[in-house]
Amino acid sequence: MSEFLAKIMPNVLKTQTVLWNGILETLQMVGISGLISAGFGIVFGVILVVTQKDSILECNIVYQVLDKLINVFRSIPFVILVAMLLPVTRALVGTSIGTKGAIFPLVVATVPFFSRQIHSALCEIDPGVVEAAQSMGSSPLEIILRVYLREGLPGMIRGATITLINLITLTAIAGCVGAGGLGSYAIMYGFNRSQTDVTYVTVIIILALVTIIQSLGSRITEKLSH
Amino acid sequence: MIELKHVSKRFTGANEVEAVRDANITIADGEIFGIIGFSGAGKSTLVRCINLLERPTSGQVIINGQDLTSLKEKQLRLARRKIGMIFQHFNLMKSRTVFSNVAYPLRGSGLSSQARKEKVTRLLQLVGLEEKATAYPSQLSGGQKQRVAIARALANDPGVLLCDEATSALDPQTTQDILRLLRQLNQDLGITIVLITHEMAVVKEICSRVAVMEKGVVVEQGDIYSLFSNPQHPVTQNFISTTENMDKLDDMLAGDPASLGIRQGDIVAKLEFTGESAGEALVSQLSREYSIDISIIFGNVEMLAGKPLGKLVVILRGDAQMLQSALNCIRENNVRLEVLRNV
Repeated sequence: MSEFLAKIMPNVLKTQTVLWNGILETLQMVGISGLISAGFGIVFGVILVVTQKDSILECNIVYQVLDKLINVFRSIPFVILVAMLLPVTRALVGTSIGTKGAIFPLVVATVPFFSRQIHSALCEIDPGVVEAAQSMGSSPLEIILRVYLREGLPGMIRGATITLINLITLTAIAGCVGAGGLGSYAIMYGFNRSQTDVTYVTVIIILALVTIIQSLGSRITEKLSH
Repeated sequence: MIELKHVSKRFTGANEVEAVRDANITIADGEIFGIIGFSGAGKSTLVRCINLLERPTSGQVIINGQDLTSLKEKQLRLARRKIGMIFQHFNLMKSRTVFSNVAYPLRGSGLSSQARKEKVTRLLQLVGLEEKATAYPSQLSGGQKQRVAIARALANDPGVLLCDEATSALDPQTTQDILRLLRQLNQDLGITIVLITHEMAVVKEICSRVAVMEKGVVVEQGDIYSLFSNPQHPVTQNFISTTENMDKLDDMLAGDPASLGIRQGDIVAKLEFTGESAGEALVSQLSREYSIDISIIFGNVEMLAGKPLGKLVVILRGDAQMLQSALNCIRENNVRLEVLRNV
């Protein structure tokens, strides 16, 4: 077995510790920036849905500003965004490289994406249900907590799944610009040293990660939908 | 008591519309009041003005002496707890069970969780759905969903129940069941019901008084019996004729008279028997006394608010002089007479 492995992926076996570190770093970046982005994304998504036209706290200025801001940040390619944010990242966390330096740009890129996902998930809720809650004397805060965030949960989980997968892709890109993780492993060994087996193994690991997240997300969504 | 005083609602925007114009309606406690109109007449907006889901552009909404339009947001929310509302598409929360849907408005009502549980169970019994407590709305039929919505609307013991096209998405049999339930709730709980619909049959079934709306204006209102027996506005007449199939007869009369067996010299007349005159054998009496022939080409009897209302369309044939005397006799007998055709 080990002979066979040594034959098909000699370079991976030689760099095992780097690979394990890469996996851990990727999971760390995805986990931390995912959690932070989830918080902001839910807040912004909710603000979008309650301030849009004919909603419970309609406020065109807030809606327009947030909406445009999200569009702007979503349209900046991630590599450029990382470069753009360098001074801010350095001022904020003291470094712009490594896992630590990657988290801030990852959050900045993911929050707009996830906010949009939350917004569209919450838009799917029948306005009639919100109206019914109003007719029963619910306050806006109560409607957000007991109607939007509850009725919209399946859609939000679906959005979170897409966002997490997107985040894994972003961490790989971040790897190219010194963030560590599986991305930088693949670049350093697979690309720069032409060790193709490293590239393939990285792809397979990322594929496995994406598959696990997707099937988990789908299962939760299904369970929550009635 | 619900008083709408000079209520107007204008929607601004690209296409500005005045959905409700100067509506004045008073609804007494314990009444079942109907608001009828074709789609786009503004009835849905008007009923939403009652609990201020739509804030009137001008006018007052006074419920039990309290002017809702003058209330602060928080007070308004408290007032809304005492105004239940049900909708055409039920608007239940998909992620909650039947039990949880009905329990929704009880949060913050000061009841202990045990008391809340008992209350929800009692409400579900009231609408006949106690065995569905753990089901989700997607597992229910339309009629059952509306029953859940009714239970939810009644959770905070409201004095008023607003029904926005509550039966329009239901089949005729289920509509009857829901209307029966509403009438029963009205009798047992004394709850005031305001019901909007585009179906005259619904109004006829349970309302004691009706307002007719067209293009944002309340064109006619009154108790159901006088409205049906003596409609003034064309829209009202239109609604009534659709429920009685009178419109078909009008078409036939407009066509070839021979197809109905009408000959030269015949008089086609519509007779309306109201209240006390409904029981008399007028047709055979006329035929005997004036020796004329009377053939009935259309007949309809309704029970409205417990009183009979009969309509007949007849062909009168015979000596011209005798016919005139017969018509006079009809008028003297408190029967409303309308000569449709004098051939």
